[in-house]
Amino acid sequence: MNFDTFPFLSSLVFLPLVGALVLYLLPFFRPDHDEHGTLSRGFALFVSLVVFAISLLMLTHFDAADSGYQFSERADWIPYFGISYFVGLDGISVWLVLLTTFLMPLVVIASASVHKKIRGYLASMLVLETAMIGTLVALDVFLFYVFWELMLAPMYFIIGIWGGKRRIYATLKFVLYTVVGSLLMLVAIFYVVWRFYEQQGHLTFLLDELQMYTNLTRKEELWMFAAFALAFGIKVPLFPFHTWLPDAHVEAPTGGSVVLAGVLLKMGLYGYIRFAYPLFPRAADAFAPYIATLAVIGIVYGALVAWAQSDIKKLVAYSSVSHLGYCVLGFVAFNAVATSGAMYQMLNHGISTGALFLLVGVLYDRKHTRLMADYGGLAAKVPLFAFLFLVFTLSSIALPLTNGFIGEFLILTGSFKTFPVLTVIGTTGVVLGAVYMLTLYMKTMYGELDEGKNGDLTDVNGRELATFLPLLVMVFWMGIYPQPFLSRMEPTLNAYFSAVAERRAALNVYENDVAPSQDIVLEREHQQARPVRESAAQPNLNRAVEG
Amino acid sequence: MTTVGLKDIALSSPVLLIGGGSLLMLLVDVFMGKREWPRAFLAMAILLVALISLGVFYPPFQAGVMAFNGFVYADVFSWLITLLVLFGTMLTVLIGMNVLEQEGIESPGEYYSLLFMATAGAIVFATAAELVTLFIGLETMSMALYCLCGAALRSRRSSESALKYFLLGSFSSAIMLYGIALLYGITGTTLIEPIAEALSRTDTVLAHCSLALILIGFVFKIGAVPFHFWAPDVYEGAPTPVTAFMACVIKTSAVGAALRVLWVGFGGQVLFWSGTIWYVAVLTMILANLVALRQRSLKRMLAYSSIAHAGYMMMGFLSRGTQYDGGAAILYYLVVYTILTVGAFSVVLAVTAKHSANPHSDDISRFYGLAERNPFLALSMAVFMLGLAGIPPGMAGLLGKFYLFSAAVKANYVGLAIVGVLCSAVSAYYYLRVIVAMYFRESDGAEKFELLEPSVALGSVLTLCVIGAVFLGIFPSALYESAAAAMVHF
Repeated sequence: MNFDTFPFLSSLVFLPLVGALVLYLLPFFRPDHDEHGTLSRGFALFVSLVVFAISLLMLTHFDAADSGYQFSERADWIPYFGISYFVGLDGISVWLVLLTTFLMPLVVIASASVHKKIRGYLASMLVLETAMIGTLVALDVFLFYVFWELMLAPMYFIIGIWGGKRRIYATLKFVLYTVVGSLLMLVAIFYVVWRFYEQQGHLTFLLDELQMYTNLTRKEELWMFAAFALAFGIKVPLFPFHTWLPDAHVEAPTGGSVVLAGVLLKMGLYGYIRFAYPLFPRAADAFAPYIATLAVIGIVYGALVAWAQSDIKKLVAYSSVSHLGYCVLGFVAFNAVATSGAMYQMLNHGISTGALFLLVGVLYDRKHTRLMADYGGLAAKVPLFAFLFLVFTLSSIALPLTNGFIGEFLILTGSFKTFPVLTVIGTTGVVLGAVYMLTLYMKTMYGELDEGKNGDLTDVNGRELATFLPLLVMVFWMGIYPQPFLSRMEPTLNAYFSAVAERRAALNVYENDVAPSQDIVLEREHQQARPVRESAAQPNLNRAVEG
Repeated sequence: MTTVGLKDIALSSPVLLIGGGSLLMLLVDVFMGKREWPRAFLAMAILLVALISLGVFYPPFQAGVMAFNGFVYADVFSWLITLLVLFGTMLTVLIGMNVLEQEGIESPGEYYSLLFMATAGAIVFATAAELVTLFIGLETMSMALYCLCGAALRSRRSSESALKYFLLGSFSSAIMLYGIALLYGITGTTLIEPIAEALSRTDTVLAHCSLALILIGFVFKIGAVPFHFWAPDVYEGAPTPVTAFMACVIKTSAVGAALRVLWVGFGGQVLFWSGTIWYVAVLTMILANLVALRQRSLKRMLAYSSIAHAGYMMMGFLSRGTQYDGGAAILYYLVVYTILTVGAFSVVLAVTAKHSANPHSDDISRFYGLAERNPFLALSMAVFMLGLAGIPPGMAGLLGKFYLFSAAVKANYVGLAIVGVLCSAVSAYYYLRVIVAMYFRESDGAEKFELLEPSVALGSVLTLCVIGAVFLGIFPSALYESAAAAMVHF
């Protein structure tokens, strides 16, 4: 196999989709129904493991010193509009892709607790995998948008069909929140693209080109950034757009929660760092204090609300709001330490929160309740479960030697330089995190065991252990020896920072020289047909401002 | 001066074939006995011949000529609209096969004859280069359609829908005719291009009045706010295949005709009508999407959805340019919208056909648990709903919105585009509600109501529409670029 020409990324993106189609068509091959779903599960596991293997192979060939896109592939998709299928991997996306491919086999193994329509469940999961990997590797803005939207439908079905009692409410809320944000982002994308067209005379949706050659006035930039940030902020979710998350998490089946917390939420952060910041750096700077404030509110508020929960899953969901607040804080602080910390924390959160949701799933499968009050003293009855719970709890509250510590430490160190006061307030979240997680642990694992209720509880079985062991290994590996992870991010991040700095400077030059005071046109205004190419020097001639 | 040559006959052969077919259907009806399928086959044969003749005569259309002494446009735009109208009619015939009786249509011969009459009228309406021809096309189409709405003779709802449509429709036609008459008084001509020329010299208040009157006629036929009130009632009462026909063919032809009259005939008055269209588009999108949220009847919901989509297309009217403009976007959108809407109505037909006399046959509760009862119908409906909402895997709908909204932003209607996307976010709710009913709910008594066993024809229409809904979005270039080519010589 020739490593230079083989389309690794495309196979990574589309293999799950092919797998999903095969899974959907399975009844045609095996008319004698796959009654218990063994075949479906086996096949889905096989596909997800192959995808994971490919991603590992790519990781071994990933050049840590190279700051550019690797394994990139490019083909025209809609040439008339300059839209292309352009995918590539760099230090920002590589670990998130790995996280996705790593979690997916675990989710498939954990699907044993799903009993109805298993084939559809697994097919949805595989489609979701395609969408997530596609979102992470797309370097064309429209391609990104398509994959971004493709994440909706499978998750909508996963929560809607296999979810809990209030699943319909939760899933509609999830989709509508996301759609509002992403459609506004689409308008912003158009605006940027047409500005580029006016200035350069041709159309493109390639991120790099847009980033280098689109000149925007400060006011335009603010509006565009607001649209992007709203879309990403809803996805993360940033306070006050977080209300869909607890609902979605509580109603989603275990696997759905794992993917939602593990990967989907990261998409908002990834979009911020990949698209919003480099395209609109000055607006991002201007908004940074406000976003940081919201992030800190999210940290503290999420932690306090988590503390007040009686439902274990809801507690973990609110802890996500709190933890992702740190990642946002790290990104908006915008220095190398904080950003790499935030990137690292994204991976940590995927692992520890994913594991916590799996643990909650284990309890729920056995007792069909998630209320803390229904448990107590489990440590004596299910020691292995208690041990796993302890490890992931400690990882979640960022104990040194676990992965969480490295991430939070880097974030707080880095963001202290930029937002000292906010960071100090945010640090209370660490304390609160310990409080609510240890309270949860204490209430469920210690105390009196109710024999009548939980006397028949069985410990983690081999299959469940298989889902936890890889996560356990990662917790300690990432906590003790983070260097391999950070070193692959570093060159890309360095190049990224200098590219953003260049763009900031270029935009300032543009503002001073070319477009002293132009307003964004938000009102209707008719234009006569204008010539196709307009001179780059006078891009705003046709933009009369209407009062 | 006025000789009609072979060339004119050739260029309008689809209209002539369909119109002649309409008469032929009536004639042979007498000899065909009671059965439905020979008539359906004859109808399909006539449509195929018309399609072939349209294909054969593509070269002159490509050159962009006029037929009948400049009374009819024969350019690529006309060609595409004719193709789409024929395609829509074909889908209508296919989904109606063997269900006409269940839908209460007792005389299939008349039904097909009227359907063809309406199709012929629709083609004339959309391709006319002269306002009287345009009006004749409009009336031929509308008259046939009034009858079609009432084709279920014993159904009171069908008759009610026919009467409502007739009364309101004839009003709007009369208003439009008044506008045409005024215009003739000002300019002394009824040919669209000379009108434009004359108006560029004498742009008076009277011209604006006539423009307003003509606009009312178009807005009524397109089914946009504030002249949309007929649509939900008529869509709900008419037999489902007729509803599907109205939703796609009539809208296609009205949009085509309006585009021609506004962009060519009133191209100089653009500052006058663009404001009106702006308000019409905004009102249509907001109102239709909000009202659709409350509908329980799927046919009414789809009626409001079709009003909403008319609103999106109105945005395209405003963005005329040299490239990447609204015209091509509208053409692309019409194709996608036809596929998705006919597909959705076919599923509704399959669910309701056996109970069409029951006014609640298309209630959303009848779709509960459809995924269990008929996975194929449910999956197709899910794809159509996602497509109409513009969410992948309904890629065609997404690309349609992409083209329209990007054209609007390009023409600096950013505010309008924002209203549009917010409205389509609202629309996601009611489209997804159908998926909720089909997939997330237990059938809850709905299984009592027998589904129509999808015939081969219906099944193939559904398959075709699903494939179109997905692949037209993944490979949109061929269609969009031919639409763009059509707009070059507009």
